Amino acid sequence: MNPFKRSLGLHQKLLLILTVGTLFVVSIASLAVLIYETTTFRPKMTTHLTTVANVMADINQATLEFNDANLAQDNLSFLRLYEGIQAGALYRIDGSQFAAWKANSAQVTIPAKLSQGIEFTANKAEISIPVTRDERTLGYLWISLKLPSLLSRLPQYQIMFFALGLAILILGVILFISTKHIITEPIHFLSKAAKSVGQTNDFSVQVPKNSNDEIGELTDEFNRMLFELGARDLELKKVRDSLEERVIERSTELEHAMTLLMNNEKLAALGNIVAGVAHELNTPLGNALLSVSTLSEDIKKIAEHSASNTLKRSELVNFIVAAEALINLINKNIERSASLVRSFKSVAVNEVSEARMHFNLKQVLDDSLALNMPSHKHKPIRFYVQCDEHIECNSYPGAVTQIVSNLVENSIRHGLNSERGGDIHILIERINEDNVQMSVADNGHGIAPEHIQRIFEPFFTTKFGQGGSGLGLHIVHNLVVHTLCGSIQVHSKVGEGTRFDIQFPIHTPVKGIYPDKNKT
Amino acid sequence: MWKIKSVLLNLLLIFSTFIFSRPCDAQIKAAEYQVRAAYVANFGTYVDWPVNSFRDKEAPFIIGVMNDEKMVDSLEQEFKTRKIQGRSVVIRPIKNIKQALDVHVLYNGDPDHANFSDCKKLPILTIGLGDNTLESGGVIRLINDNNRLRFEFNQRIAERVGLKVSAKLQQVALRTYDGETQ
Repeated sequence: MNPFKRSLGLHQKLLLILTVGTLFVVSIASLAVLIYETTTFRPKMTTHLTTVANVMADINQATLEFNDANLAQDNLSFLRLYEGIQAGALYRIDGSQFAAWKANSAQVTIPAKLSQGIEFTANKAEISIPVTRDERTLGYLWISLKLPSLLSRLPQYQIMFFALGLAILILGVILFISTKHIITEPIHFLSKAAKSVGQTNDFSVQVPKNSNDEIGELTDEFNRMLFELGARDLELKKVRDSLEERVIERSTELEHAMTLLMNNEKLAALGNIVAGVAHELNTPLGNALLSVSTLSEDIKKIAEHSASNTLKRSELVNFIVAAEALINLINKNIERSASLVRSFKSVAVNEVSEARMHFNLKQVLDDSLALNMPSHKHKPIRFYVQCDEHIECNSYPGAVTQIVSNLVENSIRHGLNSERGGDIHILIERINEDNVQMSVADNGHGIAPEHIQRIFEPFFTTKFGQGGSGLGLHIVHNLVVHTLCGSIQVHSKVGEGTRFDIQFPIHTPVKGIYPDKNKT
Repeated sequence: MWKIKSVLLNLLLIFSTFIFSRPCDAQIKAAEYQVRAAYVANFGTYVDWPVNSFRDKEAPFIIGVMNDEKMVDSLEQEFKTRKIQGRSVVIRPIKNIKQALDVHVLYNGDPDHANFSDCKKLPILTIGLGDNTLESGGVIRLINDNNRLRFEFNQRIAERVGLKVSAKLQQVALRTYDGETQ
């Protein structure tokens, strides 16, 4: 439908249809009349001419029989009373002209000789019949009729066309009024009601029903729908009112759950460290125990030899040398154990307490790596660490440890191939007077572009069901942004590796997300 | 067919003009008789007779001729094949008016003895030539009007004897009398 028709109202459309319909019917009727006129005109004229000729022949029987040419002339002049006839003539039996008459304005030649029958030319018809009485031919009659043109014949249908047009118009008006009353008006009411509801949201509007037909059913349905909509709207309002409270409630629950999960994650990380530390402590303590046991046996042997006075000087010397070596060994192993325990203590205290303190960044990094590296020492992973030794921070070492630990763990678990391993570069440098940058990079698989926007979302993991909780990088993000008041960017290219760049102030501003926990 | 007749008649006319450039009285008479005979014959076709004028449906149409033997010949010639109102025509020479009681048309060829008073009450179309034809009870009087044969008509008598004369015939009549003449 074109835009013009679309913009018309229902009334205008109906009016347009009726007008076009009326014009169409009148056109069809005109065409029918034209065809009728064209096809019936010649037979009609033939009948007309034949009738006139027969009458004229009849009244002229006696004039021919009794040779009264004057009377014949008078009789022929009666032809003027017939419309369209412009000339007539009577001929004797021998073909000679007996009497003739011609209309004043007629431009027709009375023929000297006759041919029988009726002949049509473009603008006239001529008839020639014998005048007979008692089966005797008395003479011949000829009549010429002027044929009116098609255009001049049409006015006779004027009244018919006028009457037809008027009838169709009246019918159209009746139809229009009936249609308006039966269809358009109820639809108009419905449309008006719908518009009013749309503008005012007042669902109490009811459209009056005038009939039991389809429009009536439509009105009923419309009213019912309005009622239903009103009821639902009311319900919706109630739900909307209570929704805000429910959202706040759920958000609180969710936050609580998140905190729990994060704490669990921290404890799990700590558990991993404990397992690693235990494993690491096992070796030096075992070595120390073996050395002590060997030394104990050697001492026992020397004591026996000394009691039995069989102790040789060379034996004692050897013992002393061996004892010194063992003691050294024991000493080294115990020192190693003590160092491990110290680091663990430091990390564990930091992790759990989330305490703010002064610390050396290199030392915290070393402690973190010391605790993390042992658990991966059987994997072909190479660590390259570069760190300024003189960076003294006043911040949260636990957060730094956990960030390093999570990023390294993330690289090993998601970035590097578990069989081929790879390289992890850790670079910490001062970028200006107040800020440092820590970069943790690997040469692993990289992160797919469609994932890179989501990696810091909680519970987003590509290894769901394979031990990944989806919280590691979320925790890193939270610690960097909220705890260290810094920022984190990720740069990754599939197949080349991933780099996390973290900037944070050396002195964390006092105002943080945990202001109450900033007391050390 | 009428064209051929017309051509033949024209040829005959031209031929007569050259050969008989001065027609004699006898020839003129013959032509006049023919026209007069044709008139007498034609009158019968424009008049309706009472039903009892004919014995039955097959009864002939009788034309009585008084005082004119040539007319008898001319009429016999005319009605060799021709019929009037579907009936065969009998030409009867009449010597005495009493012989004319059952005729339908009675022609009196003698202008001086034209008296139809004896058959004034009979349904006979009486035709005469004399001046007092209509006065003496005749219905039609033939007149030579400037060398053209015309006729006068007495409607009252025709009506009285029960003849219905066609308006067409009355129209052609030179004069129509509507009053009692005698």
